[in-house]
Amino acid sequence: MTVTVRIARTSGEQVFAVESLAQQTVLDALFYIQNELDPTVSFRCSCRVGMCGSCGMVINGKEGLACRTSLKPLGGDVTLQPLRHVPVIKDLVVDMEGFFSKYRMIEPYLQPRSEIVAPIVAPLDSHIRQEIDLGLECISCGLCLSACDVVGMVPEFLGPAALNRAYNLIADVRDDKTEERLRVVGQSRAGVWQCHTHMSCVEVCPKNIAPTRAIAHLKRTLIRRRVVGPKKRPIPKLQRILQEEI
Amino acid sequence: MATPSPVKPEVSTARSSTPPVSWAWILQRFSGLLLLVFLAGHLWVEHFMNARVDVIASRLTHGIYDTLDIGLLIVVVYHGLNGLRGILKETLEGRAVWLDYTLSCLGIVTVVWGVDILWAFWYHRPFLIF
Amino acid sequence: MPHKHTRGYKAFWAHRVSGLLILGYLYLHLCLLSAVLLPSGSHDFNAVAKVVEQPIFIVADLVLFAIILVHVLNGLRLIVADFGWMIRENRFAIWLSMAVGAIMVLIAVLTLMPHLVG
Ligand code: HEM
Ligand code: HEM
Ligand code: FES
Repeated sequence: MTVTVRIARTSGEQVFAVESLAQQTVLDALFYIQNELDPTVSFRCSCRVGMCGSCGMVINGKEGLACRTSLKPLGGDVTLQPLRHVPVIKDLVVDMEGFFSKYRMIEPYLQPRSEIVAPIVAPLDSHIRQEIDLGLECISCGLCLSACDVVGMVPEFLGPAALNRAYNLIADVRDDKTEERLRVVGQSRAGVWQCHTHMSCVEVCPKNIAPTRAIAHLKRTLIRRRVVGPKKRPIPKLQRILQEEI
Repeated sequence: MATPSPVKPEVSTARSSTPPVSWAWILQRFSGLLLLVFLAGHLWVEHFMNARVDVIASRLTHGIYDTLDIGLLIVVVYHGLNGLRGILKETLEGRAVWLDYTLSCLGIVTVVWGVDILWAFWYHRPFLIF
Repeated sequence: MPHKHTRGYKAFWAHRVSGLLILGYLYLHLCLLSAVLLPSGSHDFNAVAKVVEQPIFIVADLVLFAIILVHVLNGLRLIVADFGWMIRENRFAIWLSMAVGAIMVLIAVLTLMPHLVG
């Protein structure tokens, strides 16, 4: 199968003809181009199996991971563009600082409540764990930020990945920073109220996460807090589950 | 030996201010749901009941139609202008307080105008204001 | 290559444009009502009624009805999504709401047919 690969390079579009096997991916084609046709073509990758999140790009007009996108269903014509809403460094390589700075704003790590003095594990089959389970799969590839047209309209909008992570930490009963995180995600232009429910992030996520669901949950949490006050957060219940497991 | 509890007794985590909500966002949903009732009622009344001016006027002597008209008027003006405000705020930088004043005034003027129209229906006489 | 926009994105623009069109119609509506009732005006709604019974106005009426349905059904879908429902099924939800709208427009066309063909 001969595939025409058009790459939107910094120097302009360049077309390559690639001989490919049926089972090869877009990333394989890029390696072929770099090894055999033009060593100056730049792109990022690391794991090649869809778990590091570095090979995100726009493939035939839609965001995807190069290493998880087969060439065959794309037909003979493949157009590759860098991710949107982030500056391009060279060819398909973008500066992800804008993505990670938004991530950093919600302090994307667990900050345990002071009453927790020893490691505490939420068992895999507990309700508490299942609520946050899928969201934990995020590999921060940035596809959702690129697909989100609200980010295109309002650049300060935190975007699907950061808000999804914030939701995960807020839903986690072990976390102590719920109030602080809610104050960040509740902001008017940067926060959840800016989301217009396009659900483009849901459609492109390679891990099948639904950030829109997380954002909707955050909106309801914020409203509930304002109307009926904070929910009691049942650490002792988690402890009971834990001890039953033991 | 019993496993040591990983949890200390619960301490108060009360903090001062509640995280922000957007009332404009919430009210846009509520007014949308109200509009569903009002608009369905309005379209039903206008299409399936006679629309001659005397019929409308006599209809309007029944409180239910006044309520329907004024309710529709207020809610549709709020929802439409609040939607417009959201769109403009999205494209404008900063807080743009003047926008809120302008649209609030426009909304009040529109509601007064609409009530004035109904007034003419009620009393079979020219408008008070316009 | 232009970006391949998602169905939710297109639905968003349909929602926004239809909302603004209805807002524009509202002012047209108020202008019309007050023009009929102005002291200098005819005070004659029956004359107006004759005009608006022409097929062209009936068609305009149907177009307005369709625009309202796009906004209303989309708006309901968005409110449903705010409860966290039908999010993974969003593409289907958009399809469903527009199908319901199409059926309602069809019913309206059939009801108004006598006026259309005179
Ligand atoms: C009858 C039921 C209606 C429902 C359920 C409804 C629902 C909604 C919802 C949920 C939104 C928020 C959309 C978003 O955040 O992206 C919205 C926006 C809007 N609505 Fe409605 N609406 C209704 C009727 C109307 C009417 C009659 C008008 C015209 C006067 C109108 C004008 C607008 C405008 C201009 C917006 C802003 C659009 C945007 O932000 O993109 N709506 N509506
Ligand atoms: C095409 C179908 C429509 C027809 C035939 C129609 C007709 C009328 C008539 C005859 C009145 C006079 C008062 C009465 O009868 O009770 C009226 C009032 C009103 N209509 Fe409609 N209408 C239509 C659609 C709409 C739509 C889509 C909206 C919303 C954007 C709307 C908003 C209003 C409002 C707010 C009033 C009250 C006016 C006032 O307060 O002065 N109408 N309509
Ligand atoms: S190379 Fe790691 S996700 Fe594609």
